[in-house]
Amino acid sequence: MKLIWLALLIPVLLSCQSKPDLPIMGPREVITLEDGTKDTLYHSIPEFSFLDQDSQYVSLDNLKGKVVVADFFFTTCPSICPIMKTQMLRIFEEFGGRDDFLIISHSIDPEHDTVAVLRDYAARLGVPSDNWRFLTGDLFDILDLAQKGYLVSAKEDSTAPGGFIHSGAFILLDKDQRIRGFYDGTKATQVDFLIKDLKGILNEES
Amino acid sequence: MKKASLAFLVFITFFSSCDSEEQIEKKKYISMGMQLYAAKCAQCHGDDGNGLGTLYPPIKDSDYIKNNQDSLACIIKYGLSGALIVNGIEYNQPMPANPDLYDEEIASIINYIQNGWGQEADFFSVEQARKGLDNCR
Repeated sequence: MKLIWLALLIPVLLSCQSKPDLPIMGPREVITLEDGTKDTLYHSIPEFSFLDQDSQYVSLDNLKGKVVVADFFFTTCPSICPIMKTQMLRIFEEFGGRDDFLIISHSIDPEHDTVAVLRDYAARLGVPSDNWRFLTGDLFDILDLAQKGYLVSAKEDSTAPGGFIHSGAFILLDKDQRIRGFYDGTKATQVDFLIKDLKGILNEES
Repeated sequence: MKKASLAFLVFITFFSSCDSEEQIEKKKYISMGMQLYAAKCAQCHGDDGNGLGTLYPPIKDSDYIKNNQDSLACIIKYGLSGALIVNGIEYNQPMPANPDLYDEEIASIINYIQNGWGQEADFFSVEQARKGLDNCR
């Protein structure tokens, strides 16, 4: 009788140890290499360059080798942004001290959200600059990056509260800037998943 | 002897444990306010009423709320912008309007924010809310 319980327990214990494998999201293409073998080219974040709250340029280079959580917001957003920031703070509190981790919040209202405004906003939110960057730049470049790079929606909409319609998604990138997950940043339970997945991704090799 | 003690008990019950009408009203408003707060206010001002950093001011133990009773209804209904000081700290983030709220709902939110999280304040009636709203238009 006892042997049966033990036999049942082993697969349970084994399955608990395996980490869930996060898929790589987005379009992909199969390419043929020089030696004739085929390889899969996964979607990754394209080149970009925006100013952060310290007036420093942040580009794709800054993301290399780091796990990134990105979102799109604007400082005067009345609806979903406050709760997104509260949730992002949870992530920041847990992982913000690591040097292989970065949070990037892109403003989709760069006209209002200048470097100075973002600096004030970050200070009021209570986050030091290092691992949480607030970016501003050309509106169309930012919206383009959101839609084509991060595969989330973000556009001007005069009927939406605040004037912009945007996804409340938190996008998880691995150390090769590939999208590994989308999480609803307005829901604490989804952010719980993100935190769990983040731990797995941080352990992955680049 | 038993009848007398029974009568005594009934006497005590009537006069000691019941809430007054106003207290019952207040409790009704507070519980409606709690739901409205969670739906419309908590995302900025927090489930605990402590706000967010120096971005969104606290509601709990806020001196601004105590000192601006007549403007509360207007602020909740029409929003507020410009710098203000709450408990000695400056805030300057625009608060959006909630124009769809009924007067009773506004009064209930006010009762909740003043009586929730361990605080206690006098009952804030719908009449007070209406009076406030008349003056902000």
